[in-house]
This record gives sequence, C-alpha cells and structure tokens, in this order.
Amino acid sequence: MPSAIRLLALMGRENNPLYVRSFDPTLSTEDDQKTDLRYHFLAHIALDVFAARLPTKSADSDFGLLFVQDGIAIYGWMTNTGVKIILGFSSGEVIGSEIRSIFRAIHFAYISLVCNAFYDVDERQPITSRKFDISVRRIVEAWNGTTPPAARSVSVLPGSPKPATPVENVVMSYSDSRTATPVAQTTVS
Amino acid sequence: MAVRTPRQIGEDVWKTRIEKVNAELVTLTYGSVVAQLCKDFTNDYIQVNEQLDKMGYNIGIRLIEDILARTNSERCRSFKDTAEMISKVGFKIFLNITPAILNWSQDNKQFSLIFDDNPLSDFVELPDDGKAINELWYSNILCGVLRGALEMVQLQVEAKFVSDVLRGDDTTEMRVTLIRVLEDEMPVGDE
Amino acid sequence: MTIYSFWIFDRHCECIYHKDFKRPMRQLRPTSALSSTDPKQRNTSGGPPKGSGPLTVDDESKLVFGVVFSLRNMVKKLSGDQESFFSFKTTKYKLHFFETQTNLRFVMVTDTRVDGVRPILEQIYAGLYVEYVVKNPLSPPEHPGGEGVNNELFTLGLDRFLRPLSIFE
Repeated sequence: MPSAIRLLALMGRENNPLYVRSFDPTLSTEDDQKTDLRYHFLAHIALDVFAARLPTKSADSDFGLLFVQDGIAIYGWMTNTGVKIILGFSSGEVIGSEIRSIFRAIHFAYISLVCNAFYDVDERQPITSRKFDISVRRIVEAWNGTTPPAARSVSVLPGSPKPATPVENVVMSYSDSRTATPVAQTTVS
Repeated sequence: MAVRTPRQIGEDVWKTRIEKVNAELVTLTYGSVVAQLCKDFTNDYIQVNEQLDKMGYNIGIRLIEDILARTNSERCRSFKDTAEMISKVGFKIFLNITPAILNWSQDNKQFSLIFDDNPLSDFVELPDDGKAINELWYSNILCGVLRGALEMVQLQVEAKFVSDVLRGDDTTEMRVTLIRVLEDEMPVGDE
Repeated sequence: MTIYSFWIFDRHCECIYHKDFKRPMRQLRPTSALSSTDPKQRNTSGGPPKGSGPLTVDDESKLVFGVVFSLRNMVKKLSGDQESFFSFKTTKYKLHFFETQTNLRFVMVTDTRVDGVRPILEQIYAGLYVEYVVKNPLSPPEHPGGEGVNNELFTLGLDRFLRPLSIFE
C-alpha cells in the first residue's frame, strides 16, 4: 500500500501553528481533522527536530525524515522565510525525492495565499483561507489516491519486496538520493 | 495599407511595442492599493468601489492617449467597433487578456465583457466579513479606466461589474452602456 | 524651408502650448502690453481687434484656432466624420493640421514649400506629448493655460526633435 499523507502542518517563523490538518480516514468531520490532538502533537515534536537540525542546514531546504511516531513518518521542509512545512505519511512505500514536489506544491499554495492582498502576513493567526484549504486538499488527495502510482515516480519498483525495517520513535537522518537506505514502517495502517 | 483588425493591432502592439512588467508585481501593487483603501474607509466597500472607479478614470484619460499613439488606428465607426477595440487592443496591450464581448442589447448600446482571466485578481480572496462578498467590486478600477478612456474619444459610457468569480459567481462580467456621444466642444464666446 | 510657429489646442479649444520659431511676418505684441488689463474683458471682447495693429499672442491663437476649427468642421460636414484636412496654403505661409481622436489639435505654420508635416505632428504627439505630458503623473489631466505641457522635457524634446529636420533652417 502506498504511503498516504496523514498530516499536513505549516508552522510560522515563530513556531506558531499556521495550519494543522490531519487526513486520517477515521476522522470524518472537518472539525476533527483540525483539532485532533495527536497530530498537533506530532507537528510540535517536528519543531524540535527542526531546531536541532537548523545549524547544519541552509534556508529553503529539505530537512528530510524528521522522525517516526505512532506509525507516522514525519518529513520537513523549511522555506527561506522560516515557515516550516511538515508532512506526515502513513506506513507504506519509501518516500524518495518525489516528496520534494509535494513540498513545492504546498509551498506554492502558501505563496499564493500570502500574495492575497487581504491576507495579513504579520498576523500570528492560523490560516483560515478556503482557497488554501482547497488547494492543499487537492495536492493531498492527488497524492493519496486519485493519481496512478506511475505518475508519482515512486522509488520502489513495482513488485519489489517491500522494505520492512521496523522503525519506531527514532529520529534519523534522511537523504533523498534514490540509493539511500529505505525507510519504512510496518506498524498500524 | 490593408485595414488591420483590432486583433491584429493588439497582437502586433503587444509583441513589439510594449515593455513587459512582472505580472505578480502588478497584482500585488493593485492588491495592496485595494486593501489599503478598505482599511482607510474602514471596510465601507461602497466607498472603496467609488474610489477605485475614480482612480481608474484618471488612469483611463491618460491611457487612451497611449493606445492611440501606439496603434495609430482610425476612429471607430460604431459602438461595436469600439467594443472590439476595447477587448482586442485595450485589454490586450495593457493586461494581455481579451475579454469576450457578449450579450449585446437590442439597440446595440450595451454589451458585456466576460473576463475568463483577470490578472488583477490572481491570488485574491475577499475578506471573510460577510460584507465584502456582497459589496466590494475588487476590480472596479477597470470600470473607471473604460469610462475615462471612452470619454476622451467622445463616448460617455457607464461601466459596472455585474458578477465576479471572487464573489463566487460563475463568471466575471462587466456591463458597458453607451449613454451618449459627446459633441465637440466649441470655443468659448464663439457664436 | 522654415518653421514659423507651432501650436497645440486641447479639446476645450484652449491653446495649451505655443512656440514661435522664426517670424518673417509682423511682430506680435506681447500679451502683457494689452491696453485692457482685465482678462475677462479680453475673453469676451469677441475676438481680436480689427485693423492692422500688431496682434497679441492670445489674439493670434484665437485666430489660428478659429480658422482650423472652422475648416475642420466644414470638411467633416462635406465628406463625413472620418475626414480631416491636412494643410492650407497662402502666398506667405502654409498651415499644417493634425487632430487626434481625443480632440487634441496640433498646428504648425511653415513657409509655403514645406510638405509632409503631418507625420512630424503625429510624432510630436506620440513621441513627445504622450511621453512627457500625458504619462507624467505629476502633470494635471487638463492643462488650463498650458499648465503641465510647458515642462522642460517636452520643450527640450520638441526643440531637439525639430532642429535637425530639413524643414527647420
């Protein structure tokens, strides 16, 4: 089963939550998706990893796999302006360099949001824009199922045995090269 | 020289005689003007529409000279020609769009411009205060531009938006109505 | 070949720019030397004084405009709105005329041998007037008394444009 996006979070420069959404099929209402504490928790853990890795990273860069918790693999990206984009994937196939295109797409959606003249960038308020909601939902849904797997350029060949290294609660480094150590989880999904 | 259609004139001028500027710069500049007006008038959107229209008027009376100087085109023979020029030349060379001309009235004095693409409103989401979506015409400056530009070529028109995708409508539509053709002014004190 | 003078009139029929180059005809009286100092009286006096006394700049501008305006109207009445006249000639001078669709009127008076001034007037409009007057955001949209037109860029540009021309000697 391909890795599905379970969490998308944007954290502001001051580590304030701008946008936290879970895409957990067990959460049916939108309110639940916004407020489920587990995902807020994951997003905030990610911030610590960002802080820890920041000295070795340049701006606008891929922070790779941040950690895995409760069967969710958390990946991060920080923009030039210090906004952190956090994605959580359910277990499944290895996420390779194609994750960058998702980060880019989300970053672009965020730029479009900021370009709205009525959006107050200084505000530390969470994002409430419907347009942004719709565009990230589209990105996530495209990844999670509606696009054929081939279009997603997965790094694992079809039919190849699924890497099954159980990894839990481990913060590990991440490289986006295709030959990197496969990372996956086998827990709940 | 063969008579060129408005489309040819517009394409030609756009390609060869227009200095291009980054679209985002225009969008953001216009956006911050509108947002600032909304702040200055404490979200009195009716006032904001009016101000945008006035600003547009002042732009229009200058832009028309620029169009005429660049295109060197002949005077339009009918209001239908004028509509073509507005869409295929005016909007083409300043915004690189050619809004569709539809819904002519019986007397040929009213038509609609349908904007499939409006560079001014890229990125924009109207404020979520329950009021803007019913009152603010975000791109109202365009109405003023048309009014000002046409007045300079002796056409008094009324231009107003009747729908906008920003408000959730299916299309963005501006209605242009010819009120009258202005007479040439006579010298003062001349009988 | 010589340019004698150049005029711009706006759609309100006001002279908004005037420049004399060479003037073989009789000298003009400066406006300030008017016997009547009341400008209102001047405007309502019903045109320039008759007789052979020297003309003021104001009077001449009215005469020039009166002539081109009447000619233009006559031409339009005779052969339709699209029609316009280019020039007329007397034994002493030739007057060239160009009107934009926005009813700006450009007039140039030259000696009788000069031809093809219309493109020059069009270029003054497109290259100088539009660039330096219309597009100057600080210049007012209307130009009562020539305000905004008589700026340095336009004046210098006009001078620089006309001097190298063969008709300017």
